[in-house]
This record gives sequence, C-alpha cells and structure tokens, in this order.
Amino acid sequence: MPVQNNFEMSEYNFAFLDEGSKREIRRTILKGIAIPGYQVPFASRELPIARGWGTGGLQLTLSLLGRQDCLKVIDQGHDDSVNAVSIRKLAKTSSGIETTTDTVEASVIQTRHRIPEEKLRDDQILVLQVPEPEPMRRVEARETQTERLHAEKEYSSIWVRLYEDIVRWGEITIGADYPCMVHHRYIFNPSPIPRYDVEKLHQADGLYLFGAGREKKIYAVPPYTDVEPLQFEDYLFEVEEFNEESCRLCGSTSTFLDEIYDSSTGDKYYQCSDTGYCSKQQTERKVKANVRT
Amino acid sequence: MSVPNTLLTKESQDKDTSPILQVSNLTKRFGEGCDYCKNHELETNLCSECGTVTACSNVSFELDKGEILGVVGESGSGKSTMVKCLYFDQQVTSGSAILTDFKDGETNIFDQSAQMQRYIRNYMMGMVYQNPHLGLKMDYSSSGNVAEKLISAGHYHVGKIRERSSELLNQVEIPVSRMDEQPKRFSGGMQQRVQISKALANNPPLLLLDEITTGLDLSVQAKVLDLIRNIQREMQVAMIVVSHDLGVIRMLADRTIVMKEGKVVEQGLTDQILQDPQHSYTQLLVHSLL
Repeated sequence: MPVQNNFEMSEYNFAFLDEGSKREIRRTILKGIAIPGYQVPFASRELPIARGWGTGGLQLTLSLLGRQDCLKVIDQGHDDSVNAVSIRKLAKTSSGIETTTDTVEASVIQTRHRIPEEKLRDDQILVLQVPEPEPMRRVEARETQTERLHAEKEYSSIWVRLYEDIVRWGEITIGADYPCMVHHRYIFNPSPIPRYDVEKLHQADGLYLFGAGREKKIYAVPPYTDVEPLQFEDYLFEVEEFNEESCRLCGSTSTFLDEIYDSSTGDKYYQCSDTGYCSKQQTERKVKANVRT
Repeated sequence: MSVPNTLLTKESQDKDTSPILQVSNLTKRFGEGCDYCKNHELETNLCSECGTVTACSNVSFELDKGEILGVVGESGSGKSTMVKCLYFDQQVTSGSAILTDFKDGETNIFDQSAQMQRYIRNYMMGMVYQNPHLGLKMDYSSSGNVAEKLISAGHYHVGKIRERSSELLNQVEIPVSRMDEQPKRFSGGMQQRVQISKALANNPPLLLLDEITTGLDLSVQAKVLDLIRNIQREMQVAMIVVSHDLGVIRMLADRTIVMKEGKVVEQGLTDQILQDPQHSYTQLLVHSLL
C-alpha cells in the first residue's frame, strides 16, 4: 500500500481556499443578504471532499473564517459524526483556529440538517449545507422555468402541490426542508432541517447562510427577517411533536429528540439530537448517563 | 333599488357602454423582420426578403362587456397567435391592448412587467386551449387544477377552495364524486370542461377560447357549446372565441372578425358576415360551409 504523504498545510493558503475565491464567495454572501431568500449563483470550488457532501457550507465557512474565529461543526446535531469531524479537521488544520462543541463559544457554526437548540446570537453565523436549494424543483424540473417563476413571484404551482397533499393524504407531507416565504418575496428551501427548527429562522438575532456546493447557489436569511412557512388558512404549519418523551441522557423534554431503536431488543429510545447541548445539560443537571450496554 | 338611467352621471354611463377590451394594431412577427416587411403591405404573411413571418399584422378590435366575439380564419391565419398574445403566452412585437378594469383603463397591458402580466392573467382573464394538456396539469386532481387558478388569485383556504371548485365542476357537469380524479383519466370532452371550469374560477371579465371544440365528437361539441352559451348568459362574461368552424361561430358569436394571412379582412355582425360576405376570402369560407 502506498504511503500517504503528509498534508503540508504550509503550502496552502489560510483556510484552504485562495483569497480570490474567498472574496468572490463573500461578495456572493453580501448579495444574498441584500436579497433575502434569493439564490445567488457562485463558482463552486473544488475541495478535498466531494460535491454533495457539504461543499457549499464548507466554502462559506472557509471564506468567513478569520484568525479570531471559533468554529463548531455539526451533522444532524452531532459534533462527532464522521462528516462533521472531517470538516472541522480540515478547517482547523488549514487555518489553525479554535474549534468547539459548545454553541455559545462558537462564532461560526457549520451545520447539516439541524439548527442548534441554543438561540443564535447577533454575533454568530450559522452556515447550513444545502442539497437542493430550489423549492420549486418539486414541481418544475427546468432551471430556466424556476428562475422565471421566482422573478415573477409565481408560486401557485407549489401551493397546488401542497393542496394535492391535503386532498390525497389529509395533510401536507413535506417533513424536512419545508418551503418558506422569506421577507414576503422569495420562497426558499431552509435545507432539510426539521419543521421544529424552521421557526428559529423567523426574526432571528443571528445570520443564517445557506450554501449548495453541487448546485452552485448561496442564499441567506439575515437577522430580523420574516420567515413564514407555507400554510393554508385552515391547514396550519405544524412542528414535530414528541408526546412528552424525554432525552434518555439529559432528561430534557424541550429539545428535538432522535428516535433510536436498539437493534437487539427492539426497544425505542429518545435522545437529544443536539449532542453539544445535551452534554452541557448532563453536566448541569448532573444527570448520570443511563446508557444501556 | 335600481337607479333610473337618467340619474347616472355621464361618466358612469360611459363606463357602462365602453368596451372592456380595446386592441389596436397588435402585431406579432416571428423572426427579425427587415425594412421591407416592416414598411410594405405584404401579400402573404411570409416576407420574401428576410423570411420573417408576420403572424398578426395590425389587428384592431373592441370587445364589449358580456359580448362574444368570433374569430374565424384558416389554419395559419394568426387567430391563435392573437389570443396567445392577449394571454401573454407570447410577446407582441408591437401594438396595444387596454382593459377597462385594469388600473385607470388607459394602460397598455403589453407594456406591463411580467409580474403584472401574471396578475392580469390570474385576476382578469381565463383561457381555454384547444389541447387540454396545455391548460391542465394532467397528473394533479381536477379540483387541484381549479385550485391553481384560485390560489393565483390569492385564495389560501382549502375548505373554501374545495367548495368553489366543486361548485364550478358541478356547473360543467363533472360529478362532485370525481372532483379529485386526475384529468388524464377523463375523456377529451370532460377534460375540456375541467379547463373551462378552471378558466372561470375567478369570475374573470374576459374569457379566451381557442378552438375549444376541435377534436371533440359532435354530441360532445354540442354540449360544450351549450355550456359556453349558458355561462355567457348567466355570468355576462365577455369572450373571444377562436374557431375555424363557422358553425361554432354562428352559434356563439354576436360579432365576428375574419382573419387571413395575419390581417383582419372583414368584421361585423356574425349574421351579416354569414349572409352577405364582402371579402372574397369570406365568401369562399361561407360557401365551403357544408
């Protein structure tokens, strides 16, 4: 087996990307902030991970990082999933900045499919990885057409899609990645966060950035912006419910819970999806982790 | 209590009698166009110099409230292009159209932004295409298709949408039990009727009907025509009926314009045109009627 050469970071620019690329991405971010929910195209760079694995988020993160920043990376709430660890490592080795698992400490948080439990502050930026930025793709395959629909604010087709859901199933069947109207203008995909997290985008203190590396789009929800999930007057938007279940580790009843099955016994457990918050709760409440072997 | 006519102001009397749609010099060219075809009266609609097709050339007419205007002409005479321009499916090259109900009633709707044109389409017009595939989403439910038009016009209450769609579908004799069925499972005539109910959803003052009975068998044709007449009588919707079938025109239209090679060659009361055609083309058309 060939020996893998050491990755000499000194040969790379601070935070991996060259300054020209970062500048283009930051400019794209500014445009995205200026037009909330509008998908700004950008030249997605090659990275050491494959497109579709968080490259959009990673490029945003790398462009935003300065030497004073502290980074947290999570994957569906977990700090220790393979993808989160790899992305955090790349950012750390290529920039040498601090990383953390504590939401409060971080200035930049890159996330896949979750928004942390702790409320984002006005000095924090949340970067979301986006697999499909186009909400209208559900009803229209052609990019030329979806661009036109956005330009003309012609959203009846996606509403009809929701109506069809209600006719056929009695409810709207879109779970994660629930389409929302931002600032009363653009409908956007909030990335596949659960419905539970969608309300955190509305009139938030912090900045939310969305990066789709494969689809080459960046968009933003600036602080204090209205974000309204699509809902009919008589079929209102509903978030996930956990029927009074609590986290088996920290005992929390007010967090988003993952449902876990024990493969040998078939038992069902619930535990916090946000691991950083959960471990903090455990130390605070001094709850002894009751992990079954 | 109804107001006696004499008490109405001059202005409101004008409003009552003024046409709801005024089209002037509507021109649609397919191709670049050249000095020759822009400045000369062409014999045919194909420019011999640059090959540009002038599908509609300076088409002008007026449409009164609740009136049905027939448009006849052979294939390729520009009838469909004209209604497609009016519905913004195609962009006009030049010309103007004024809807009395839109803004101050003096605004050229062709000059409006695409967003505003969507608004006009959604709130003030209904369109029924010859081919139901163009006007309907075949995989969605029929009520969903009607709902699309209602949602476009700002209705976001599922219960009310369903109430209105069942009412509309019922009106066109689609049984309420089948309102959630997909149009692709319907016969051609039924699909056409779903299209009509969709076009009527917002009570638009103007309905555009493009060859709606072509391809339907005679008994179904008669049913659809009957439906159109009922709608016109009951709802006082103004309509532009495009057809190459003089029978349809005779049955529906109060006034008719005859088109050939993109130009209006004759216009007048339908009876007059059918009884006493002036233009040689109209004469040919009337005499070839079986």
